Formats: sequence, structure tokens, C-alpha cells
Amino acid sequence: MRLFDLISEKLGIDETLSSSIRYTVTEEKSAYFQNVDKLLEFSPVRIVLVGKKTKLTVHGEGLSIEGYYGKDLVLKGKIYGVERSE
Amino acid sequence: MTFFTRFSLSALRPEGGIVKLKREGISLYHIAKTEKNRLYFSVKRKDKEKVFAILQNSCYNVKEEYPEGWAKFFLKLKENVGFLVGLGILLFAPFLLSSFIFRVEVIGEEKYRDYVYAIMEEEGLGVGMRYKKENLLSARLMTLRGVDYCFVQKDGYCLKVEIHSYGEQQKAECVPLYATDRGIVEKIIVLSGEARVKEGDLVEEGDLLIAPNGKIPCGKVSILCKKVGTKEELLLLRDDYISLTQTEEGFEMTYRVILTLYY
Repeated sequence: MRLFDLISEKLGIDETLSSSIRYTVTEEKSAYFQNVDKLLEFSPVRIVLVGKKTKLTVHGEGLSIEGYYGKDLVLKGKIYGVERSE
Repeated sequence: MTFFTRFSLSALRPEGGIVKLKREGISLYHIAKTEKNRLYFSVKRKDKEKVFAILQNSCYNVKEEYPEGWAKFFLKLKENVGFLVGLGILLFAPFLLSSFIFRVEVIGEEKYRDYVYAIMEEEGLGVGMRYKKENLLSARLMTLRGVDYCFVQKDGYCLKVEIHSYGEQQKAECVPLYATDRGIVEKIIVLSGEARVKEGDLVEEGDLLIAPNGKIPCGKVSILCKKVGTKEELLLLRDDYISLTQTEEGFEMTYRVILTLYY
């Protein structure tokens, strides 16, 4: 995603080497996740995604996965928060 | 256009099925969980068989659901064939009906009105009939004595025939009607004048068919002819026309000569 490249460039981080889950939440209605290795848990209120180094828990309401292809995952629904744990 | 196939996946922990499919490289779409032990997902139509292959003999119960997108639309259409046929008829009825004649309007010289209807009938044109573009109505009307202008037009459901006579009124001549070929008289209709032959008569070329007898001859004679070694084409003359009624067989053919006199 070009957006991540631009952010990494601004921050001076070499994101290409990173294998942790990267994500963007837009207007609390959808989110885009990259480097997703596994979908651990899935319910309309909670989704747990696993990357190589991290685990993300998404809290929300009416959550559904719009697409899950390659290592990318598109989430739809009302997103209250994303919790990261190692 | 992408076609999807919808599946339902039920298991104690259905997320595991998603992981298993992902591990095999299947792209998943529209994943939704409505019950604790069941979730729904879609895959591209081409991956449909792979889903069954990957999840068979496992603890996951996978079932194909209704189709999505265009496939769903087409399926709905298939289920409503009657409605579609009705809609088609409704849409095409005006086009279909517009090829028929529902009204005939003759504009111009009143004296030609009867001739117009008579020739129209011979050409297979009339109210309730289908309008054939390939007709000789206009050409035949122009052959009527004194007609200088004739225009036939199909305007919607109406057939408009405009017929005019300009210039000096030509005086009708007492011209007799002669046979133009050798044959048997098939039919004779005399409106004015005197018939000199009857049905079944054998006539030679140049034989008198309808004599003026002091009146202006008017009528029609149909002669069945037989010719060997020649091929006649459809001819259109001023006051009579020749039309082929049978195709030639070898070098011998039977044809019909219709001589018409309208004054």
C-alpha cells in the first residue's frame, strides 16, 4: 500500500523489513490490515488477528470481513478500538 | 465481472476453517459470523471446488449457499421467466404492431380511390394485414391512366396513399384489351366493355379479349401460359403486368399473364 510507504518514509522507518501487522482505520467504519498470518478469533464484536510478531484484537460492533486475500484483510463494521499485544 | 460462491461453514471453531483455506491460498470475501459456531464467506467461482477439496474429511461442515452478485441476478431472472416474457412482449409489442396496417388513408383524387383499394388487395395490403415493404403498389398506381404523382407511406399504424393527377385531363380511349401471349383463359372479370373470350378458352397472341363496344373497357383477364426454352421475368407495363406464378422446370414453365385495364 502506497500510504504505508509514505508514512514510513516520513518517519524514516524501513517498513519493508517489518513483518508485524500494519493497519489503517478509516472513520471507525472500516479497517485495512496487512501482514495478517492468521485469523484466530472472529465474532461480530471481536476479531483477533495474528501476525509474525504481534497479535491484534479489534473491538467493535457488526464486524465482518470484506476480504481476506494474500496477507491483507479488509474489515467492515463499527470499530471501537484495536489492541496490540506481543 | 467477478462471480462469487457463498458458503456457510459450521464447526466448533469455524475460524479454523478460514485459516485452513487461507493457508491453501484461497482468497476469501464477505466473511460474516451470525452464530457462534457458524460463519459465512464467499470465494471466487473458480475457487469453489477447491473449498470442498480442502475442507473435506475435516471437522468443518461446509455448505454452498445462494449465489451472489450477477449470478444471483441471473438466477432471479431464471426464476421469473414468465415475467420476463411478459416484459419482452410489452416492450416489443409496439414494434411488432407497427408493422401492421390498422388504417388506410387515401389522399388526392377521389376517382382513384376504388382502384387504390383494388390494387392494394391484389398486393396483399389492407387493414389488419402486415405491411410488406417490397410491394408494387406505388408502381402499379403510377400505371393508372392520368396518374402523375403517387406516394405510398407507412406512417405508424396508418398506410397513407397519396395520388394526384396533374395537367390536362386525358380523355379515356376506347382501347380494346388484347392477349399478349398464347394461353388458356383462367379468369376474366369485365367491369366495362364486352368480353370476347370465356374461362377455359385457348387464346393466341393478339386475340381480342375485351372489346370496347362503345364503352371504355375496364377489367382483368388472367391467362395461363406455357412456354418452352425461355425464361420470363416480372414485367411491369403501363396498363398490364406479367408475373411468374411457377418456377421453370427444365426449360418448360407455366406462367400466368394478368392483363388489367383500369381507366
